[in-house]
Amino acid sequence: MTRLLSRALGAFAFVLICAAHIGSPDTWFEGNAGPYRLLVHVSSPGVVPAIADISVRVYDSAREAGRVAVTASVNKFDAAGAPPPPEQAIPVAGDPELYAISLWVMSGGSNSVTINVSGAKGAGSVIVPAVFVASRRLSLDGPLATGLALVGLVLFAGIVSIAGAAAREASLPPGTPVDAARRRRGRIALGAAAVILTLALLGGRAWWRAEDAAYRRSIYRPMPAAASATDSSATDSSATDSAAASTIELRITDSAWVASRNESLPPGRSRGGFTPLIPDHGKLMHMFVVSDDLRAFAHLHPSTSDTVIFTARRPPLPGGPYHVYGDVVHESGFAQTLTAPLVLRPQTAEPSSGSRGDDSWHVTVVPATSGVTSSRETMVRWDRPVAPLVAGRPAPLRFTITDLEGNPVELEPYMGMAAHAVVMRDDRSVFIHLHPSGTVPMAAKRSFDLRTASDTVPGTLSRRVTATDSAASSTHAGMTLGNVVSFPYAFPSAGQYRIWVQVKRAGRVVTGAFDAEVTADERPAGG
Amino acid sequence: MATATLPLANSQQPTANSPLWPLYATLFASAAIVVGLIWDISWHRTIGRDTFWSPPHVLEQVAALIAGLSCGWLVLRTTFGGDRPAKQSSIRVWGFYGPLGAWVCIWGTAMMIASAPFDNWWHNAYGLDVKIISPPHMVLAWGMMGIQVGAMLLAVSAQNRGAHDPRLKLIYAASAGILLTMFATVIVEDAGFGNEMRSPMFYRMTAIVIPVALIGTARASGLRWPATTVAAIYTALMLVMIWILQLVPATPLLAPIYNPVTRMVPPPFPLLLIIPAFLLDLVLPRTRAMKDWLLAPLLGVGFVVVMVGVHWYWSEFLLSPAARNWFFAVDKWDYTNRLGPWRYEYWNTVAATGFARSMGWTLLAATISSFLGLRIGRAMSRVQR
Repeated sequence: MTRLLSRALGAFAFVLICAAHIGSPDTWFEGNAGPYRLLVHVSSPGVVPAIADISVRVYDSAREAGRVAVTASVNKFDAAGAPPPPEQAIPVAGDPELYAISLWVMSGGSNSVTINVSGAKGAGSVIVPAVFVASRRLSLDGPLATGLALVGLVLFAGIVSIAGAAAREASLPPGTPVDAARRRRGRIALGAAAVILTLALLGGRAWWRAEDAAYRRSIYRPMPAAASATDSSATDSSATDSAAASTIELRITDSAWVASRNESLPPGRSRGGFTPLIPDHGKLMHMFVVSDDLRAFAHLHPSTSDTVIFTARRPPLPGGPYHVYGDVVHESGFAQTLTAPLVLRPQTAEPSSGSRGDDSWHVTVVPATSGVTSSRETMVRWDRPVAPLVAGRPAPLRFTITDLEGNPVELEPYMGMAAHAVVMRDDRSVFIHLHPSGTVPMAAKRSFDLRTASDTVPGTLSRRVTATDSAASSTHAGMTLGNVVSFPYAFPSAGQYRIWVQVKRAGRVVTGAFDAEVTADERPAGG
Repeated sequence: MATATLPLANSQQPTANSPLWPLYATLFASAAIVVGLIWDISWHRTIGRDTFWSPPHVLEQVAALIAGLSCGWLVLRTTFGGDRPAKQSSIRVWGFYGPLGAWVCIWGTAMMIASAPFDNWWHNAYGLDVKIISPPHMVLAWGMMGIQVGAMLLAVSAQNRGAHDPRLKLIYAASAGILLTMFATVIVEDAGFGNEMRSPMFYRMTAIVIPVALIGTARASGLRWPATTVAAIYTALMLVMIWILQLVPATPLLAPIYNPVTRMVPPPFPLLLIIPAFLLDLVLPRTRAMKDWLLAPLLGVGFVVVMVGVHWYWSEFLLSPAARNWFFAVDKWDYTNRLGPWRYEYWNTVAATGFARSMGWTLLAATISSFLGLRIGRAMSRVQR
């Protein structure tokens, strides 16, 4: 019986991980709430409904400690109903700037966490978009599974024995001895109870399996997509503007999304559960093309006429196996990374690093350590402490940009941002596009900031987001453009990572590539 | 029948040395479980968010411990206490002696405790209370039922042994009323609103659940009006819960809030089970000679006819402005409800032919439920230990 139970439980003994940003489901946000500068971390519980742990660092508030109040609440993007009253975050012992709170998240998809801070400097609040999806499957094994199996066995044996004893003795007047017929009756009842309960347990197991299968179907997967490349007749695709240039194409193959292109559908209709796309930094898609050996990297901005097929010009990347990552943001603030494998054929043109408009590409000749950039005039240096990088803890992703002599240089906004970064694990299980504001796409933030209660028809909000996006992409409010950029983030798991950091200087995009080894968090789990 | 054992009970006095407090303790536990359940449902409809340590959960856990510990004590005392009459009115399980009810209570407590880590894992794996009907919640529900059935068995065996003691009859009727409340609460979750009382589902659900609970408990009772008493206890318990809960200030703590309630949302007004129960008390003593298989269709059909006759028109009152007051407490809705005219309309109604077709199955269900009730009632009236 124990073996049967543990085998039943063992069927669940594996874990599946995927998420909106591939393998990196947590939200990191750095920004202002009124007079306060905040670093917000929203941990993704990996299942919905669930409790999300939120930590808020109020920078430079140590002297005010005890007088700063931090409250937070969660609400769904499209909820017409009111949010619950904000709840008090608790100061974290030993860190006067840090506050922590756990909040229930009831609905999957695009949610927001509203953080309110008040203190001597005044009060302010900020909305942090956060995507919550079922992203992992929990195994039932170890001591818990063994313990439950043993308890289940005792409970089974117990009720069967009680049934047998009840049939044997319960209706006997007190003091009357149990005769042979009674004993037989008890044994029959015991057997019958065992059979009925076994059938009930088998039914329960089938039910559990059905629930688990339904849950697995509900685990978030990005819309399926396929990538392809076309070769031009021209020999140097980077030099020609002809329509016959080599291209890289990412095509969304999600049938519900594609079917929504049917013209007979009313405009703005939600597409297979997803709202329309909105531009992020003026682009409907940020396409990253990364070779499987991580040596070649391109950040492209494809054009589209139907939001199904996205086509970009192929930069002079070496031939070989690649993966294409398409970052898109929906009107609801839901961000997803579409991904598909791609094989690029070698071209006659020599692979090189460079940029064209906002598109940029970078080919690393040797494994990157620090200071390697795609430009001969600019150096990107990772101001990395000696301490090892640990999974789950804030990573010191701070970079200084200088000229070759080490003098600070002046940066220009690159698509409205001081810098962009892509973090990727060498097995491709983690891929995320970061900004100095964190993991939250600016478009998602804007869709929450601009949303009103009357935005009930898909497509109406996206027009306003688009209008403000084109204006905002050149001058980003509150953005400082020094020569130091940093990205709030924590590596989600131990392993080998590559980080590409991109800034713009003198009209050209400069890419620095860095390798990082991240070790596992040795602190006890649940601490 | 209970009276048949009276001379024997008197001659041996098996209850003379048995303390009554385990009966009261398990009765309290049984009541606390159903109160905790009703409170917990209200909590989810009003506040939305809870923890393992929320007050209704704590009440249920304390109830489980009281039932488990007092019955565990009873088993140990009977086994090792040297009380011969107590041992002689016990059943033997794994070498230990105790009344059947005590064993079922202990098992129920163990089920409830075992469900906690299982439920915790389930929430981590599949989400917080995505569905009320989940495998760990079923383990919990079987545990709760175990304690309530155990309390009832403990009471019925004491009543059957010492039918001369009126307290024992009342304790048994109370434990049965609490069990009926539990059964009705399970239906009421889905179909207890006046708005449902013209949908076939309401009559189907009540036909499945109520006759077995009402007949099964009434048949073993030594009272003159057993079913009426049991239904009255259910009605009183529900009314007290409704009147108290709506006094307690509470606000929702989960998004989105469509209905900003400020007091605990009470359960719907109790079903008028007291009417079919009263008729049952008139019929049962006059049909003692009838075979169960003949009596069951009579009771089943009678039950459904009375339920339809009563609730079809009673629901008109429940949906009228006259019921929107503290006494009847209708028009109290969850924080997640978007209020609209649906509050005063009938839900899930079907055309007359559909209703009639559904009634066929409902009558069959009521007959089977009545038959089971008769058999369970007969078995219960024989329980001596």
